[in-house]
Amino acid sequence: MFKSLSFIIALSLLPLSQSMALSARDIMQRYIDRDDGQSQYSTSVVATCRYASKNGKIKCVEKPRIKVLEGAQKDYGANLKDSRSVSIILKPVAESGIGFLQFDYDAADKDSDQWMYLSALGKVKRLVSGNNDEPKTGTLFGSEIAYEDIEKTHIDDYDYKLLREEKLQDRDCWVIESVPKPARARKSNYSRSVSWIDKEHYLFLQAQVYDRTGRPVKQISSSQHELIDGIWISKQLNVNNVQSRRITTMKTQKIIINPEVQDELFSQRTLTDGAYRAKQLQLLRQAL
Amino acid sequence: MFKTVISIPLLLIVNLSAVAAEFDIFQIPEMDTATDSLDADQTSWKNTLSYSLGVDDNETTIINRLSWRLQTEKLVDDLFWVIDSKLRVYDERDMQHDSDQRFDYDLNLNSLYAQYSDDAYSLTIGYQTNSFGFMDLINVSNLFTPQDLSEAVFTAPEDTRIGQPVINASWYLTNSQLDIFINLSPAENRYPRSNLQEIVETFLNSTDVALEDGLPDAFEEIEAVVQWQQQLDKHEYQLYLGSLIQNDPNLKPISLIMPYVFKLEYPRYSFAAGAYSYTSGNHQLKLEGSYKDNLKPIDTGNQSVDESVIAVGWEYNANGAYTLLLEASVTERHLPNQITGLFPASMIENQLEQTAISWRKNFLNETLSANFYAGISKPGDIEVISASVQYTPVDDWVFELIVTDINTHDADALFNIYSSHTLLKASVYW
Repeated sequence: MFKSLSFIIALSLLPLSQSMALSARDIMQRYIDRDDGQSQYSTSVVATCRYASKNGKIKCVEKPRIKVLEGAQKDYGANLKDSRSVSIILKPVAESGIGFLQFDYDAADKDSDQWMYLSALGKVKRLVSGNNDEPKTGTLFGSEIAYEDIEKTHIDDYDYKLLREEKLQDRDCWVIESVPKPARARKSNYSRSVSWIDKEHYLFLQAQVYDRTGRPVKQISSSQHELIDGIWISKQLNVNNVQSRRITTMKTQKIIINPEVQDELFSQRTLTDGAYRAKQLQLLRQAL
Repeated sequence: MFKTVISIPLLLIVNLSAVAAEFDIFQIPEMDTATDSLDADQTSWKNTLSYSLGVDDNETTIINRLSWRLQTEKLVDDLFWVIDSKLRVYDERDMQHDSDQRFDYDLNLNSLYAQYSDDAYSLTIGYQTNSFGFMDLINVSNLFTPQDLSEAVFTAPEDTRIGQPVINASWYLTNSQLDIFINLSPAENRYPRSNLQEIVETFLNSTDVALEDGLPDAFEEIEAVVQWQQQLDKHEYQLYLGSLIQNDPNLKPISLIMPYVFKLEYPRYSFAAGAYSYTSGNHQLKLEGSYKDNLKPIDTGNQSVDESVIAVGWEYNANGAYTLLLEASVTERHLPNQITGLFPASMIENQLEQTAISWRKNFLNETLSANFYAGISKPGDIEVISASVQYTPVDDWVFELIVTDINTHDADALFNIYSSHTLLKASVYW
């Protein structure tokens, strides 16, 4: 559904004349295929709280849960469709030092590989991530970002329909409905979604997502768009679960696009060899 | 007409409700993310203050302790420094209390090491803990680092390892790694009751017993292990070869006439181990085995034995709904001669079977987790069943309630060290 919520949302520029002839599927294909850089380094803050609405304004009704992450990502494979990422939890203190290594594959029949490093144990544990053929119930660190939300999107998994064109956030957008095909529907927690795609930059602006019974469940939006090294980045992602009345914001504090990143950074060595990890991350921070 | 007049407003109300269930105008509430200014490069000290209160089945307090754990890691020039220490203070009712004062304490250094890394190798020198093998519930290959078993049934396994002064050299190859570990001062396992004297007296039914400590001094005996690890797609392999000192003592009789005199010896033995795991979809299969040559467990007197352990494990992830872990092992000892010695013959069996199961489920957006553990060990019919709930009401505050039932059908098993209990633990991090 979304190319990558690891840290950024990016896009490619297209002449307006070409875009007017595009079908809904073409638009989504271009959105999925947009250039977001072959590697990234960033620090992010993921904050989640329950909220209530009063006088037209929504406010947190509890102290937000905060996760601060530092990590890197790099694309691999013949068409750079596979990716590897490493993330280290910096906050909360109770979980600081826990590291994750993940390999994602474009092939729909290939499960992700995940490892977690428990610093207290001094041990790397390979995680059992679950079956891609069944709906996953977990979320990212207990936030409103579901694992399904950050999986790779395969264009052929959905049927697309261009609903209309309208302005959102002062941007001309296509409004596209995506409905999972039967094979995908069996594995998905969602029955359909409606997405607003910026016409000029193919930037994702907003999506409304419906659960398996057809009820509205999530409203997702991106904001704080910046052009970095020729690539449009969204530095904030917001996920509002309208059923549970919980909201998650993921803010990218610092980001570098296309830094030089050693392949070995995406190996178990990064998790266990603190000296190597610290040196590599320090080099990336200095490039900011 | 009345009905019509009433029904229209009701319809409006229903429709408005339907709209309200749709997406409202999207707003972002202000959240106090005070960590916005966090510098990832800054030194972070991690403090953990924990209080544990435990009572046994007779409602007698057996755990009443406060602990403060201090951890940090920092890259200074080219050296990566790690510190992990824990100070524990025991009330006189705590089973670990062993002094004349009302409060007793101990200070443990789990890690104090420097690590240098360059190209394809790294060198780690200092106090550290090292984990071997893939099994999580049953110990098959994890023989290098001793355990603080005074906390083993009260806390997570990752908090039970005791640091040792080790030199660890690592070579990193494509999808594989070779390690050499040299332990300069082997340590022993720590038990809930440090008074081994009392245990031996109980068995001999005599108080006229003297124990001489035979734990080697630093550099007197060293341990060495070579480890090779390989990862190939969904398969992972580990192999170990080593020469180790026993983490548990053997009692060597010096005098068998009263007063009894025994020497606590920590004999050397050789070991080889291998571990394999295959992970795909919801499942992970693990196989692990170890072989120890010239082992002298305490229940065989001073007789050497060979010991083989084979274990199989299976982990299942129900797509985030829950995780289930099952492990089982068989241990065989090969005794040249049957020994009855000073200990009951029932203690000396040539086969030990262990089975353990663990189940975990998260609730309330991962702020609440429920864990269930059950393990059985034969012979001795030692059964351990534990249920725990862990709750994090806000970041960095963790509360845990653990209820553990321990049954030993053999009266001599576990030396009566462990008893069924209920434990409440609260921790705060900063």
